[in-house]
Amino acid sequence: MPAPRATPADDAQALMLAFQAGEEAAFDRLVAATKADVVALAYRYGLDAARADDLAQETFIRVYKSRATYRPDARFRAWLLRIATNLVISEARARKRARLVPLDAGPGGEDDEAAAGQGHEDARAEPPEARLEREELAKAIEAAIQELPETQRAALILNRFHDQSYEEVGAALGMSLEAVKSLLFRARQNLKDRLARYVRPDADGF
Amino acid sequence: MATCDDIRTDLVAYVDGELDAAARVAVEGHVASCAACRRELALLRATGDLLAGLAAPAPAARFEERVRERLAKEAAREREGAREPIRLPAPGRLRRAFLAVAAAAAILAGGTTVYLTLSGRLGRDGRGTPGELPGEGGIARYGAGDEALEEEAIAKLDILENLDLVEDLELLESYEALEDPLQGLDLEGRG
Repeated sequence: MPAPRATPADDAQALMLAFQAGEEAAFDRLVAATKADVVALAYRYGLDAARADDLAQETFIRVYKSRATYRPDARFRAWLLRIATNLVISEARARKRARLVPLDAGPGGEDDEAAAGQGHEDARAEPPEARLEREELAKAIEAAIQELPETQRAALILNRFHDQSYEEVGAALGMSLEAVKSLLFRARQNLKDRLARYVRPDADGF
Repeated sequence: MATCDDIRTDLVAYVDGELDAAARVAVEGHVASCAACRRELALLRATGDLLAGLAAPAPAARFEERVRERLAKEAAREREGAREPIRLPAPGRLRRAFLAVAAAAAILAGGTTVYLTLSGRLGRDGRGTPGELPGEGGIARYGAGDEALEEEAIAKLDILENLDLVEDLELLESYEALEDPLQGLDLEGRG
């Protein structure tokens, strides 16, 4: 069995514990180490880049203020993503109630386009057709995710984009393992149907 | 031998490596002999793979500084607030205090029934005239003597739950932010 290797998640955990013990500078290092994860989570929920940043900052403010409640037996990343998920869902509901613009209906400005492209450092080296195809696919996937019912979306985002195990997803959303399994099954089925024209399975299932 | 129905909802958990050994063997046994489930499994797996390439924006420049600035701003606001003699609920009363604040927020968020009931109460208590929305001032003045308001808020719990405000209770309770009951409820101040 290979020795467990140190992951960024372990580093974050250590930083959180140092911060909790009173080392103020550890907080900035913690933010630097985990901010991309939180921004990506908010973005996955359909917030534009600026609002995803804003929500991520708010998440870290909550981390700062509730540092005393963090228990070392809880994985830091799971705890962080749970706070971010609660915030983004609260905001989405508040918006829905106030009948404001839905999260996914903002005008897709140039900032969004530029921001969305940042993840692809090799974008310029790509042939134009391939790039168009990839962008169309990304848009279709993002739209399909936004169309999922809220809990399916939350479970999918945590599991698929933030590597949270079913157990961790259950802890974050306050659900049993069975409920998470069923939720993620339905989410995947919904996506499979909505993205049918892009899904190209291998010949064999396994 | 497991049937299609037996293993169908396990297919995604199988692809995700989240099944225990027995369930895994059941899926593999069934899929080996069922072409339809084999195809379904392949489609679900391919759908998952499709998601892998999705990019997200990098955090903005000066992200950490902006977090620090916001923390400093909030600390300054708290210092500012501390100069005014606001009576805060004792720790043991935190839960009920939250419910009362949540009730007020529910009113603001459009909980008409709560609003109609509580606005009368607020009027009688001299915290505003009937029909006037209790704004932040009303909430900030919340103090130890408002038992009746609390009880009423608790009685309206089902309505509050419909408004989703109570779902975050556990999380909110864990925040020091609750020392300022208004702070945790800033649900729509952004964007």
